[in-house]
Amino acid sequence: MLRADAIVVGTGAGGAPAAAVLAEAGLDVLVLEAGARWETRDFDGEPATMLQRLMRATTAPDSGMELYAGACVGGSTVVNDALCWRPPPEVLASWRDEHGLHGLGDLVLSPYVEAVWEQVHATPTGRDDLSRNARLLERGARRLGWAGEAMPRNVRGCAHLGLCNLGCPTGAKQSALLTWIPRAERAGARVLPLVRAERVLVEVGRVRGVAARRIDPDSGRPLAPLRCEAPLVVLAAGVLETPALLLRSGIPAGNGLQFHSSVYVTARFSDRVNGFFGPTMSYAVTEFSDVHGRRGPGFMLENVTVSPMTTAASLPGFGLDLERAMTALPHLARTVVVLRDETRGRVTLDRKGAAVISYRPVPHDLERLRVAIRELARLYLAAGAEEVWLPIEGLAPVRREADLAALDARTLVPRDFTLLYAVHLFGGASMGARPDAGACDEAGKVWGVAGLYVSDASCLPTNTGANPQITIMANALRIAEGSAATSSSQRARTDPLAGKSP
Amino acid sequence: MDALAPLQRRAFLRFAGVVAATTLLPSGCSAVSSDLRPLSADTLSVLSPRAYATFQAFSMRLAGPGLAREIRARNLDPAGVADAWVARRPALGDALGQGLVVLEWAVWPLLPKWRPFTSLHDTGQDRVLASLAASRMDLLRDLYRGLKSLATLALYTQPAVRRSLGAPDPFDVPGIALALRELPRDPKSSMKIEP
Repeated sequence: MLRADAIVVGTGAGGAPAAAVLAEAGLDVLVLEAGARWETRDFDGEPATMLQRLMRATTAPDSGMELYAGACVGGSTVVNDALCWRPPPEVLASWRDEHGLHGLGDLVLSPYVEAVWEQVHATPTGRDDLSRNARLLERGARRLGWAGEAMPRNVRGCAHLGLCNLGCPTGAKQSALLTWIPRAERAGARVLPLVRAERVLVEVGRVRGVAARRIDPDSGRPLAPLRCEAPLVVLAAGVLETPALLLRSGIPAGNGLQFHSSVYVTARFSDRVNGFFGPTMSYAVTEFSDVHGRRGPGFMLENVTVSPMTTAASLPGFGLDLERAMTALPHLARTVVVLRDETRGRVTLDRKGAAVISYRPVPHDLERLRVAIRELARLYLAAGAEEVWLPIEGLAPVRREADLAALDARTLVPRDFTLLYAVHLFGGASMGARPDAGACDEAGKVWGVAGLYVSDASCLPTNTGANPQITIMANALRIAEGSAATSSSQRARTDPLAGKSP
Repeated sequence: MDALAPLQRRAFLRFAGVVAATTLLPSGCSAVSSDLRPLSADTLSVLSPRAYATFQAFSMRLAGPGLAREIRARNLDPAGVADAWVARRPALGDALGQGLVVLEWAVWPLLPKWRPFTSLHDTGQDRVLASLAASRMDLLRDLYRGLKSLATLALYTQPAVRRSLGAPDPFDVPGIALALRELPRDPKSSMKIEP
């Protein structure tokens, strides 16, 4: 059995900052991570190895949507594309006005956002950092008169290898592994990889710790149980796990799940694009966004690296058709649609206690995906593409705008897409103004369980319409700071010498 | 990327069991051609030799004639890669095995064939893939997407395949430098970079 002042479950964007804050507040912090710990030297850039080591995937059985998450120390910050957006003011306003979360306004969150911005070294992306792939997206947008911008990234000395989402083998990407985790450890936090939290231990309305199991690194199978005790527990195991952990502990959760749904569109140009080089993502068409001052239908278009595997998986067709497209790989450009879903799903448990994701996109979301695909195809044609592959099985490549009639005529269901996946996940243990409106209050404290907090994307009440790592980290700092203050005052009440040097 | 995630479902496993039980008789139990068999069954962790052959055949039809030749010549081994991949994911290994049972043994009206998938000619196999991709049954579409994802992972992550497509190795620094030098403006190119 292990004892600590605080336990943080998870080491990603929601867990690692919380661990750093709690450790720096003088608490003895234990950090549990189900995945293994890999360092920059282990990131060899080989997709098969990296995917095996760093990521986990599951699916929403009712729609076939694929869901991905980081599964290593550093969590999804190790496998994301280093994109940084400040929390959209419209989203914070809706959390205040529609969800009654008055403590989450722009003024409250702003200092935390700035602290995160500095810690992860979020920096503007200059034109020299835009790959040819990104510049084609920009070119199409300009020709159509659409708004767009280079996205800030949390990097130091990017080498343009095109491997951001495989761990970044040069250490340029300032993931939690290189920022928050070392900071937490310098303050004394103990990080335990390969330990999976199974249940939260609760006695008489107060948290007592976490029942966990060690994980075999080779097979991923659970090994010996491990009991960890602490009067403060912060859950940040990710949207796929935090709600399930609460449910396994008999605590209501699982509602309000929301995604940014994504599909890829691929275009072929006569000249080489070399889309596998450069930052994996760097430019966004914001014309259709509904945040950061825009009033569009609610999606962004972001260039994405042309990796052979994901390109092949997202192209429609097989055999000669797929071969023809893939042999043009150096001439391909690719962009991902990031849709701000309206769909709400939920997390439940199967008979073994594993998370089951229910998420069936509502017709309005499918319709907006159609619009996004159509507009993106138009953009690529305007940029000079010779043909554009839409991510829908059975549709021929588009060579002129008139070809898009086939897309408009098609009735779409989720399984029509070659690869429909959730690029960002939110909710499942949302903050709410009342116990019947969410799993936790606006301080992140789980209703009815003293000392238990949620600090990852699962506590966000809605999706954000923009890549969310900065929002998640800032909110985690805010929640951890509050929980540390509460914990310290409680310790002071029960032990007058707590926190004082001997 | 756990490509087989869509197949990790009890309903699919039950479905596969029914298919295996009801279609083995009409489709027979013919031998698999030698170029689809594993060189040694002892090297397989999860897949049976028959499942290995089925995945090889699926991968060949999926990727097209160029890579199919390399698979036939044993220069590429997608089923071997897939076997190693799912060995670390027991639930996915089960789903893959069951899915390949369906692909190999299911017959009309589930799939447009009366014989095992591995014994069909190219056009027959293509008809099966097209039928899976456009099926009205969610489970069959999930099977297609799952097998396609795993086959693309098993093929297009291989260095030889990447190189043949013109993609760089992870640390192809000279190649990257060359690409970056090309970036600002290539006077021979029509792809002008707009300011």
